[in-house]
Amino acid sequence: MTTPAVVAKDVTKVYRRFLHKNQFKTLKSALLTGSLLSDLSPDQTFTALDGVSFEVPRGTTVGVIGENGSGKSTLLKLMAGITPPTRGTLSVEGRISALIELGAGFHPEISGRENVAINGIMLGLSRREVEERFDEIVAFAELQDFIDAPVKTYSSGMYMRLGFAVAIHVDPDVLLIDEVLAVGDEAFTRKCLDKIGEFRRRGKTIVLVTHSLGLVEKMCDETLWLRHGRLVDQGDPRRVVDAYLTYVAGGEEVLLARDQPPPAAAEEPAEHGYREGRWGSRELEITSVRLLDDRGKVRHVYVPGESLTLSLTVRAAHDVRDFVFGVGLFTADGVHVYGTNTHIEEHVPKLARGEGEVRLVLRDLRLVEGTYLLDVAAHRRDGTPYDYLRGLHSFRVKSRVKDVGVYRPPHSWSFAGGVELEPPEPRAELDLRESEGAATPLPALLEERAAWRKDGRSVVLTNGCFDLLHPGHVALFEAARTQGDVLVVALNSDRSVRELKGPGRPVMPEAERAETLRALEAVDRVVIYDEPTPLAVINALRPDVLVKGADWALDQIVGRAEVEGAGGRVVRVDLVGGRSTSAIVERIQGP
Amino acid sequence: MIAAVRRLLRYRLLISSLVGRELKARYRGSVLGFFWSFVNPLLLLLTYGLVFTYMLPVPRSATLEPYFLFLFCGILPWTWFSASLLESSTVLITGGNLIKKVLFPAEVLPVVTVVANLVHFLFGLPILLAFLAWKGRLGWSALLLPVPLLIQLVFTLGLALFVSALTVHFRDIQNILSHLLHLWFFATPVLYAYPESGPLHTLLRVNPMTHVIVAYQEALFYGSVVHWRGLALAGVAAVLAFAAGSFLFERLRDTLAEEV
Repeated sequence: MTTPAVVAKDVTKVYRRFLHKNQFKTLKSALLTGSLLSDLSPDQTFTALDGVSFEVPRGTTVGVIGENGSGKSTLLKLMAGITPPTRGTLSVEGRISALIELGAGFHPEISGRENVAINGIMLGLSRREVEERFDEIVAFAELQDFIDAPVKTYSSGMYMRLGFAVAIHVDPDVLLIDEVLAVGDEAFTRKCLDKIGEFRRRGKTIVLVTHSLGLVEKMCDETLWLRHGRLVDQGDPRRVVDAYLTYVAGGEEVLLARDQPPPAAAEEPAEHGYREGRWGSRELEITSVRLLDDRGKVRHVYVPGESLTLSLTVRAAHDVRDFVFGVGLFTADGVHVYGTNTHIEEHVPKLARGEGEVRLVLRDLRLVEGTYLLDVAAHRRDGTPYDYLRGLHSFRVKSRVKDVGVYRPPHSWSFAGGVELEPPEPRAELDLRESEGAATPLPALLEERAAWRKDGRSVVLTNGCFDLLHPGHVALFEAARTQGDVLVVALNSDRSVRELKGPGRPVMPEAERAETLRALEAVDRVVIYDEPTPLAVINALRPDVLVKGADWALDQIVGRAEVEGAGGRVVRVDLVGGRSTSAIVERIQGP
Repeated sequence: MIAAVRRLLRYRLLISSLVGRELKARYRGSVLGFFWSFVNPLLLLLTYGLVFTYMLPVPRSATLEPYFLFLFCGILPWTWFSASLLESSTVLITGGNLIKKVLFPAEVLPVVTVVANLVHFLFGLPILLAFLAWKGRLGWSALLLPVPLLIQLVFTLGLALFVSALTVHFRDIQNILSHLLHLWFFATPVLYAYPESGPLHTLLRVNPMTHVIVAYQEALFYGSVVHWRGLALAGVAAVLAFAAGSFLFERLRDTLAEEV
């Protein structure tokens, strides 16, 4: 039971890029060695898989995800033995059934019955086995009434159902599935999934290639993520799917950003009455449109609940006194989601002269997943356009929750009485913000420190876990800030908090703790350290003042010798009594 | 080559069911159905018989009478041969779905083509035998029929493997092949008697199909087999063709799924 079902070692698959070109050059090698590939130069080949190695333990279900063209299907074909790897080895233990194309071997002219028999034999059953399983296959495909009709009279759904039924009844040890579960109606898909579930319970090995990430999270024990033929990540489905989604969002970001060049004045009629384009006199011109996130970074992919700031740069050709700025929000298929302008909201225009900026903050973007198009406009109060940009800018909302519609009202479910539901595991939305976060990396901080020293500004340092911020902390920071010019808070990383306070802590992850601290007026910089004590930070930073709470005895304070040795001071600040994070946690958890 | 034979034996169940499917599917939907297996060679015979008896009479001696019967003995096996090759040139391409999407032994496809056409040949055989009996030509020598049949089977299998694999890489073969087979047909003594000497004799002697067809004609029409040596050479050629065909197929096997 311990040998893996699938072992791939450095599997590489190279395809010819241009079929049927320059073939006669290689006729001799084709005839003598069959090694057409080795004679081709790299620009004539395409590497579909590049040095992929992994193992699939027996009895596990593995999902393979990746964008189109990432090599997923090639990998499956190699596992199925349909085509050999160019380099490397790939071995699969046991009988394989590959659901790559359902009903691939069906002959349209003959009956379903005869096709089942032949297809079963093709997939490796004996005649007797086919007979034994025949009724079961037909029942599974729900084709009892049609089994004697020629297959060409079947609907595509019936065809697929029969194909799936045969393939699944081969009773393989290893089942390879390539995105075929999308066939058939809801009920049949359900049935297929149940059957696959049954396979899992019976300890069969399943390799599933799919774009349905939900399915991967639900059914798979492990996930492989392929990108451009390389194995990017492998492991826990949730983690890998999250990483993949974040990557895809990044790709969309690039795509959306690229698709927004300074638009030309054009009025192209489009379908659904929503015309993209730009028109107007340009007396008041919108010279740039930027979409900014809550950190002021240009971004085109958001998650629900984030804030989006629309920043317009405008330029008046001459003094303009009659003007209105407006924004409209549309779904990709032209549904008007929202529209407003400065006139509707009773801002009275006074003067537009030269360059200026107009900002509209959409706080808490409560939209469901999808692509949204923006109209931005400057026009007279009577509607005569100065500059109207219709549908030329867009952004995307991504969400873990696949709810439908346009708007997601704040909502929650509750159940009472005999209705019982398992609540979902809490999961945060994707974090699309650039990972620099609120904390400053130590090297960057040291550079700043050098600059401060030159300016004669003194640096105060304090440290702690701060995983549940309370007024005692705020008082500490405010007191610390008065000791010098710049306050740096050294923050224990998640790992070191766990080490110090045990599992279950920190209450909040380090990125969020850093963000909260940075939001405080007294705190100028946050730096995260991974060791239990901040000694490394103290040594590197050489603060002028080290501040600790009065509950620390002077000789208990880590780094005191170092600070004082460098001519600095150690200050203990009296806290407002009785507050400590640990006490609060205890109070929350009850007796 | 032995490995190739072993593989084919292992797939015999698959081959036999695919042959069955092929036969069933071919005439499905036609009025005459299975009878086409009998009618097809008869119509071909009628065409050639009319052309070469009345329009372009072939100079022939009395030994070729009745000419229809002589023609029948050659045309029936030739039809098996040429139809097998023509079909096997496209069989991997039309069956591409199987090769690309299912783990499927590709060599089964040309083999099925050859065997399915063999079955058609066997269906036509009773008619030929009936005609022979009617004209009082059926003798004990007809029992030798399996010898040329076996040689032709091996030869055709070899060529079919060769042609099918190569056509995947060089589609031109599809077009050339029908003309080549036409030429081959006329370079085989089907319409005329095998000349005993002369430059034509030398030319025809290097053609293995000459000896196979002549063996059929001798076993069925003339009632005495005399060209044993030629037939033995054809047998050697058949084994060589099979070896070459399966060698090439094995070489190109891995590229088939990609090129189809």
